[in-house]
Amino acid sequence: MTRFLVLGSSHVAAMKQAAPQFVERHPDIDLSFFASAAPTFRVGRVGQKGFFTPKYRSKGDRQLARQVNDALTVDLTSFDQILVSGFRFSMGDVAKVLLDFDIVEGTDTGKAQTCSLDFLRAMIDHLVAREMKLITGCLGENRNFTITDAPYPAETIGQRSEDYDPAKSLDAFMNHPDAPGLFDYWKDQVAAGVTAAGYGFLPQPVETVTKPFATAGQFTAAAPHMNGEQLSWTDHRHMNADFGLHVLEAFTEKHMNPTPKPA
Amino acid sequence: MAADSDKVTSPYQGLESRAFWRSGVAEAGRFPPADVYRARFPITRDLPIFTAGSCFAQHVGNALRSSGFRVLDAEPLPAGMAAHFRPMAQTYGYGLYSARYGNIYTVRQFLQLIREAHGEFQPADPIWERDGRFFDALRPGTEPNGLETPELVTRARAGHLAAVRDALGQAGLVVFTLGLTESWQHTESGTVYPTAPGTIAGQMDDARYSFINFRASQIREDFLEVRDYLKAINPDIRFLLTVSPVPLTATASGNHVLPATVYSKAVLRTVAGELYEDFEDIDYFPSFEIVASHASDDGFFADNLRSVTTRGVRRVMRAFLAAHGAGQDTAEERDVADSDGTDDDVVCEEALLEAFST
Repeated sequence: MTRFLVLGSSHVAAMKQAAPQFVERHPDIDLSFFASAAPTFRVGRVGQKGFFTPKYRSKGDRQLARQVNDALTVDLTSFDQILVSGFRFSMGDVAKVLLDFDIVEGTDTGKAQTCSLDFLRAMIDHLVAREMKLITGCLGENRNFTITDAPYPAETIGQRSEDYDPAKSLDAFMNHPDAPGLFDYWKDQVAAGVTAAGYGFLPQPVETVTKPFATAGQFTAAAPHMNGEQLSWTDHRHMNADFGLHVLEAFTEKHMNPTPKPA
Repeated sequence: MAADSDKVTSPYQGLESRAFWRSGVAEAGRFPPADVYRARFPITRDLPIFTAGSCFAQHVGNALRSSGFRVLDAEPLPAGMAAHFRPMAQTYGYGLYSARYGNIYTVRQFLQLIREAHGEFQPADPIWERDGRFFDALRPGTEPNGLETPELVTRARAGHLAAVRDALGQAGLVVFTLGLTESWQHTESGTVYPTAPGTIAGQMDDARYSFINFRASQIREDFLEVRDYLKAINPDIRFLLTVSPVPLTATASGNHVLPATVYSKAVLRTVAGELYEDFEDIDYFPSFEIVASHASDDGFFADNLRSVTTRGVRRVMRAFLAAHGAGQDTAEERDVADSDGTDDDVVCEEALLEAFST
């Protein structure tokens, strides 16, 4: 029996919702979850004895963690594999730049300003290094962690342009003619950063990606809240059980040499 | 007819305490002395300010921005971009000045930029190469790794010049920090560059490039031409001059770098002083005097005796902002007060010359 923990932020919910289906297919895997809200998760710490504790800021944070996990901490030493989902190497700021700038080496889309590809790559290098600092501060020494980036926003994120400030630039980025090259660079740098720190890396499954930094819209329908309840609206950022199953299967395929039960 | 007792025995009699070294400096009780600078004209919060000059000018711009003054930026990064990108972006020339021209060390360089932006100047050898990458010779530091082709450099520069034009068109005040007298020029045309060929990119060629050490008369003439240009755009425009207290990293004058530095700063200070005396629309702020004069604190320069410490920068900015009605405890000052370093956070190509020291 392989003891497998999915640790992270609210994005863990998609995988938790897929658990029944996954366990049905992989009876030899003992699947567990531990999640806390992103602001508490990302600055949490793994203690010397191998327990992960989020950085709770309030009574409400603790209440939510208890409600979701029935515990405030999790003993990481009791797991063979740990998949971490909740860190975000966000392309949001790069997308903001492309909303106002053309890339001098790239396509002329009529923007008044240009910036160099080298500058955008430097931004990506910077954001990866910064997030890696956060990750290593949170998780510490390598302890069989595999990192997967928080899901890319849904390709339908543009529908939130009125109420969610980054939506407009993210939508523009996904459809920008020069975005594929930048996205490839970003993926390479994220993978290199994570593996250089001694962690495993699981990219977002390709079948869930439709455009640069975009998750297929179908995966955003009926996405769950961290507490298991269905979100009352589509936020285009959190994904559903179908997406969660893709991630779990991708991880299992890559890291656990599975022998899934025939469907 | 005044009585004998009312006779003035000396023209110094009755002058303010700031006029005397003992009361104005030695026994002033603080440094810089409270009255070291009196603003010639007010700088209001809504006055569009164009900033340029040598590395030290970045501090002036930062202090003004942090204190709520309207510093122009015609090539800004998107509003709302995370602040942690700022230092990285500054190495690409973003957020340093009113456009991405990088450091402008000489008045001639500033004049060239203004003329080029208005289609009246064509620089010679505007593109330099290094390791198969191409650099804008007039601002080689703004793309640290250069661009892929010369055409891309030309394209980027065209956009930049439009931004410079735009910023100059809005400016109500130009804050310019005089940095160097020494420069390198394309001998035939007289085009000057912010760095010597071969420092960041390009290659030194004695038949093509030569050293120039601008004299006071040339700098004054260049500045008056700058003034004429900008007055033609906005007759009400004003100027605030400062002299950078940062010594030369290296001199190509043949002299020892210490007297070369003092000479250079003396020339710049002379020009600034005479321009101040001659024109009501030109003010002078004594940043050089605060950091690098007899009464300056020991702690104003770092161990290399070149980089100005954050303490030195803070003192300068406090005097400047206080004279312009800005709060004593500005965000810039808090930033500076909280740190304990040097001005290494400013982007300064001239410091790269240190690498050629043996």
